Amino acid sequence: MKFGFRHADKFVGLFILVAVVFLSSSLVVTSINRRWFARDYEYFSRFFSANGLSVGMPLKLRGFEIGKIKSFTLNSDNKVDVTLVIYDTYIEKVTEGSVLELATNPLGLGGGLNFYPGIVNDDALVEFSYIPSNQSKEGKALLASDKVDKPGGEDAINAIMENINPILLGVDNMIASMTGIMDQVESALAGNQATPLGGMLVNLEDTTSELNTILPAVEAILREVEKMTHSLSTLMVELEDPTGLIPTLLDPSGSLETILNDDNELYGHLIGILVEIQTNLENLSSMTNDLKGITPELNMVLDETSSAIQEGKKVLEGLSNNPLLRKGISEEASADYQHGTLRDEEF
Amino acid sequence: MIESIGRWFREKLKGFSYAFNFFLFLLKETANFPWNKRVGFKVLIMQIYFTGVEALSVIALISLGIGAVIIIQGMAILPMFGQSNLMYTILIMVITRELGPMLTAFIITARSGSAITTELGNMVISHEIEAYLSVGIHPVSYLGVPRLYGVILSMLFLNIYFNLFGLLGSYLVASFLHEIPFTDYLMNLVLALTPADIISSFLKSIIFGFIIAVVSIYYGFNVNRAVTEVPQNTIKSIGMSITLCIIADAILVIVTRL
Repeated sequence: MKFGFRHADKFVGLFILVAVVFLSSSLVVTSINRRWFARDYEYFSRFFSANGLSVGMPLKLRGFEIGKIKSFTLNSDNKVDVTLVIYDTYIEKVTEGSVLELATNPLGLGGGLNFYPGIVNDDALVEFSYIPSNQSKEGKALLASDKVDKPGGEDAINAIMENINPILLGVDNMIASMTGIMDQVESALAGNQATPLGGMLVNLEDTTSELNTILPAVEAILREVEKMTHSLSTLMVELEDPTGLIPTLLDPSGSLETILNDDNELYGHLIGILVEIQTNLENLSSMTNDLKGITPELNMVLDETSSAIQEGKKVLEGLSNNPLLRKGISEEASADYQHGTLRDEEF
Repeated sequence: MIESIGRWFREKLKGFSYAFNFFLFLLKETANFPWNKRVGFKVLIMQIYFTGVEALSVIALISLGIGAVIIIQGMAILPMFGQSNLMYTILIMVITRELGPMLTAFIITARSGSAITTELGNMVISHEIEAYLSVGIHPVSYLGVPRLYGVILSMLFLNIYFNLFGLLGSYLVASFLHEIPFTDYLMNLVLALTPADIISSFLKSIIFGFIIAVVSIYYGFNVNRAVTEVPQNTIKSIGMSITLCIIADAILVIVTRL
């Protein structure tokens, strides 16, 4: 008789025994893991909205799951009553003055319900008591008064967000300052600014208009100067011939006679030209002084722009160092199948 | 033509009626089995031995291979998406919930279902069934019911072994390629395992075992007189068992996920 047939009973017994032991151990481990025989303590809280809440959502204290949400309902005051359970192993952590915080993740990667125990009183909170949430006035007051044990960062995402927040704040400030500068420039260009930049632009406009009024006069002066140059040129030609100089000078209708006996007309012209040149030089001097005056404001604007660029550089560096974005999505390589069907292949 | 259609329909109705009555009788005898003194438990033990113990090596090999493949593929792909822990959920989902019961059912259908149909068919041809009847033993009670119990229990235990080798044994294979602490592996596996997974796996095992056994026994007793009927009924038995198992699996998945 075959060995297996002779000892079939034993083989079958062992076969069943090992299977039953494995199954029993699996059930025991699962029951321990699922807390089938453990006692849970019930508490309740209140939130303004059920957004982010779900039945079975874990309640965490410093990353440890100490309980979960059992149920939540909308009450008559349109607020959300939440019933939650705390595991017996962590029940001593639930002290008076404890607060719940519903943390939502800005990246849309889910959130969590955090538990912050009160640190003023060590007395355990009685079962079925109310634990305020961070959305309630009581909870906000407790959180603000530092009477709860609240750590800095709760999870990796929050830690990253905490690092990103200053960068984003920098970007915000930079954009705000750039917007301010642009507004200022725009307003100054519109001519309704009392700031140094506005003053500078107004002065520039005034100066330009003054120059526009002066230019015709300068042109007239230049024409006179040209005439004078022409006269002087003629005079120089005459002077080159000394033989004819004296008769010409003495000639009753000569140039000298004309200069001396024109009732100071030419002299008056010359004085007028010099006065106008002096006025122009004074205007130029005033404009130069204005430019000197606004140099610190220009320096300030340049400094602000430089610091804004520096902030932008930091933001870009921060984003490039961000582990969530680094090598996030690989390129997909598409492989084309060379033959549509088996019939397309050539044998 | 109308006459032939009518005859065909009458025969189908007769066949369905016979199958339904056979099924009801088998159920009644199955319920009476623990209190029936005339049937031998030895037949049951031998059926578990043939169906369960002898199929253990095949089940172990398949489950080890599948478990190792899932772990290796999971460790290669899932960390790319930062979802390494999903490997354990996938392992439980594939081995415990789906492939475990289904592959075990296929193996039992191929090994034992076909054997039961062939054996019973040959017994009909060799008039052994008539001999049982002549001494007052109902063949369905004595031959069918122990096989039904044997196949269901074997299916249940083989499914447990499939999980054992697939979930734990595959760790040994995977540990040659990747360094995974056993305690971490076991803890993650336990965290991923839910009572619903165990219940679903159990339920599927019992239902698949029941389908295979009933179909095999029915087609075995369905043989009338010719030897050529035996392979025909065996083929029908295997095809019908696999089809019904897949349909039952689909229904169970839909029902449990609703």
